Amino acid sequence: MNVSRLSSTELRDRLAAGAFRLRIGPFVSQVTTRLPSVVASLGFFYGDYPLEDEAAIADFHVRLAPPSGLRRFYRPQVLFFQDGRSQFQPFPMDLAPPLFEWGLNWCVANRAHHYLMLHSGVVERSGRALLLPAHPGSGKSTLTAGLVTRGFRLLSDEHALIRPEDGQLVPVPRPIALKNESIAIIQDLGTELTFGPTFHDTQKGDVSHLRPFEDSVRRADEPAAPGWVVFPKFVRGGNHRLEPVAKAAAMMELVDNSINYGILGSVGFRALARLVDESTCWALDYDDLPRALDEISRLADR
Amino acid sequence: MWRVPKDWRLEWRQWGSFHIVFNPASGDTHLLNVISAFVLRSLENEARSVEELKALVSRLPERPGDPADIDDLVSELDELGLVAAAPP
Repeated sequence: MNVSRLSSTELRDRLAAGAFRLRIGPFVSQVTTRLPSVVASLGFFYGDYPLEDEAAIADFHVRLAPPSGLRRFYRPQVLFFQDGRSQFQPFPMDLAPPLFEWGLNWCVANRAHHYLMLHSGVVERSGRALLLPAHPGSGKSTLTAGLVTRGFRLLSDEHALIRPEDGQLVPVPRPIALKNESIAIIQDLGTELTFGPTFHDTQKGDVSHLRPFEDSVRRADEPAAPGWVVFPKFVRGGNHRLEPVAKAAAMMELVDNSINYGILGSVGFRALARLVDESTCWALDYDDLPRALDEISRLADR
Repeated sequence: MWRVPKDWRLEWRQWGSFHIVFNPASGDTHLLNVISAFVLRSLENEARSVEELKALVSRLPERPGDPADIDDLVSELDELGLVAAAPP
């Protein structure tokens, strides 16, 4: 059963009772909250996602709630709890919906060590994955969203999950987080795109999330084989270039980019080397998004 | 005498003329050129002196112009924790 099959009352009650188990790709998250903004946000972004029954074992147990004390009355705040422990400083209450997304990113990055994880957007075409590895702030979410508008399937805008056993890229499709001027740039790309509200003055600036297409969510159990690794760099006013990268250099760049390579040891090395072996590797400097999307699309169509 | 310590199992990949080696003992990954990789591989299975390494490297088509470079190379591999002094 998908989340959208719940009435708004059922959704609210399940979330309040800790009876809401959301499947996103390989992960099940038990989410508990009474915050109306988070309830509404989950209904909006996750309507196409499957629900697991209450007996399902959850990978992440998360809760969003205000801190105790009088502060809740004069400057309301919200905390993100994982396994009962608050993981961040309190956020202003009006940022509770994006805090859920950021918190879930944190859960994946800190718990999913059975995968080799990269900071990377990942999309798929014809069964092959195209990775956009880059550290936060490099424009990978913007490119990922742009490629989704060109018919690529979203696997993730945040984490590449590489299965060490077979080198496949495992989807974990979530709302795509866009920041500042990227919001309007992507909004201009298509009328069929659905955005949540824009949250202003966060630590990351203005933030808005793009709802993933239903097809990406429905196919979240379909991994993809490695195809292309494109290292993107947004260079305002700079020269556009898309050039091959030597595999050894790509490997070293990916080592630097990885979230948990150091934890996985030889397993991580072999998984990363396999990714490089099975991909063509490219460097992309861009400041013109449509041109970058054209070139990446041509690359994937070769 | 130098060698890669016996209980270390270095992991290797080669792409073109570049070699990547992962050292599970340190968790570090290194990018090596042909000569560095050859020297390190030569020390994986047995201890060798720098003079022995110079003799081996001199047979390579890509041998360095100055044999003293091998002294520096072994020192660098030592500093990177890839080799260690071995009893003669």
